[in-house]
Amino acid sequence: MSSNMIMLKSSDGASFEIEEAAARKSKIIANMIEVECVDEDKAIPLQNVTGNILALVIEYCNKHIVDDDDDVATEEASEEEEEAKKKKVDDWEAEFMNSMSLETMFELLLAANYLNIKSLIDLVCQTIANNIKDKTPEEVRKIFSIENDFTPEEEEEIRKENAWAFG
Amino acid sequence: MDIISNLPKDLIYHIISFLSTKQALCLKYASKKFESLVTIIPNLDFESSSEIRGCLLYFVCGILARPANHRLRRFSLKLRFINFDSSRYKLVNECLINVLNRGVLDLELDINVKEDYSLPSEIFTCKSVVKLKLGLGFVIDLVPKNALLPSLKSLILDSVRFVNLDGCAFQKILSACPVLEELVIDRLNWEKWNWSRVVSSLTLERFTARRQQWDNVHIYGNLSFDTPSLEYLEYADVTPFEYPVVNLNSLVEAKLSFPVVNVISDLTNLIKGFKNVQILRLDSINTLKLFHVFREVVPMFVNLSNLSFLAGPEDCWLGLKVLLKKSPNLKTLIIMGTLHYNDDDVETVCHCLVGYSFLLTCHIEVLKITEFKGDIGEMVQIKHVLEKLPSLELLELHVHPTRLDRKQQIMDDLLMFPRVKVKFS
Repeated sequence: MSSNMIMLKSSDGASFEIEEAAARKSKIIANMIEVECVDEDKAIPLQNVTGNILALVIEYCNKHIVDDDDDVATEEASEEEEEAKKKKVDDWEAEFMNSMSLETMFELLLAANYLNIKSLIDLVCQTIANNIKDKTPEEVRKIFSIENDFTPEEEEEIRKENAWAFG
Repeated sequence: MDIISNLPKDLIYHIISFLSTKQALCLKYASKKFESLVTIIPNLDFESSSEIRGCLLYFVCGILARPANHRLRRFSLKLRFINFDSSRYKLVNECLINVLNRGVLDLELDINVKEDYSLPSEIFTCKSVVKLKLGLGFVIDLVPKNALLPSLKSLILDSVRFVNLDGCAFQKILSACPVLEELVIDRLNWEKWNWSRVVSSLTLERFTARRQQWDNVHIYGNLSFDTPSLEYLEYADVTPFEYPVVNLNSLVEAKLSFPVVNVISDLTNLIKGFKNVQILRLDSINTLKLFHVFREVVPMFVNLSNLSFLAGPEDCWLGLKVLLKKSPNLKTLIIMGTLHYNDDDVETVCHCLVGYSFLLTCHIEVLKITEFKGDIGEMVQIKHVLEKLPSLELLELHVHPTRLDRKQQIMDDLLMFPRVKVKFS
């Protein structure tokens, strides 16, 4: 494992030091490292990510790089150990997502998308989707502050057509 | 602008791809913008009764090509007479996984499968599916450890076989369904299963197990029902050795049919398990007889208000006698068939009826006979019955279609019982 450290700089000027292996979770950064356009002394500027969001991204990457290392080290781990480990990661992810507001979640999603971190995109999208679970259209509007632009007549029509779902 | 609309379309589609079709519908009708972003496909149906090569491939490709924001409500794949062989397994499974990822709610697979076909394991971890129907001939051996069907309410199995490779696959599936309400097993074949012989579910409310093939079914093992929430049971089977555990404490309605009874079967626990039933229907002659055979253990049916039983003129009523004695609150008795009489000896009352004395203590208010012919022997018996039943208010006769000409005669004959209202239908 490489213990090279690289520097990332947020749009609002905050600098973060991160292990190269963790930073490689981002396909964009991994590509930059591959084509050797990372200068060891210079921080990579990330124009679209603010410091507080970048801190979350780094927290996620650090957590998952440790897990990936474990995968290699304990190739012969028993099924139970595998399961226990997966549960630990799931619990950590649940806690991680739980700790942030919906606004932060959307910013994190945009950052993950910009940095191209597939597993983080999935995690955030799944968490946002979970917010919609068992909700009515009115409740969905409320959660995401969506303005209702249907007329009462249109709403009535929708309710009729979809009685199977709206009861 | 709301926060979600700020996202690029691709990310909104990605979020939608995590929604079941029902959840996606709620997002769709949040606003007009989302109405255009979410597509709900009500139904995708493929039915082939003859081999048209390429047709299935065309259908599957059409599904795979759809973008992630297309959510699917119902999917049905029927390959009945097609030669479903290993060359198609990959195609069908690819299609199923795609459909499962589209948040499908109602999934029906009616395929004549062969033994070596395995369902994709994703089917046991689908979060969205509410109703799942599998037939014919699926063999389920390995259920993944993480099996969970959190939305599944209705599971319908037709000729499905469970084979025990790693614990009881049947029980694993039931345990993976935390909100299961209905289980139907058609063309019951559990003598060919390798399983724990326990039907156990805390949530199950309706259970139907119907055997169609009765020939050459030998007695097999034991059977237990641990279903404390079960309200409706429809059960047609050969009897096993015994029923070690029977928990049917919430049972309201039971329809039973045991055309083939093994003499060594011990039905004690099963019969005791029906103690709370309110509506009981006995669908074959032998089923009624069982209540006589096991008369020593028949519990008091304090809630039983409606009893139906199948009987022809030649069938003895010994079982009924036992049941009526144990059912103090019975209000409606339905004879699916007709009274017990002998056309060669019309005046005689069979010894099993001991002069119908057991009717004197009954509080039956409604008596219904579904195939009344109006034969002389029948008229003799009905008069006995009407004389003996103290609380009878209504006699409902369905006159046998071949004897409709006798209706007036029957009516005139029954005029001597003005207390009882006679209704023909």
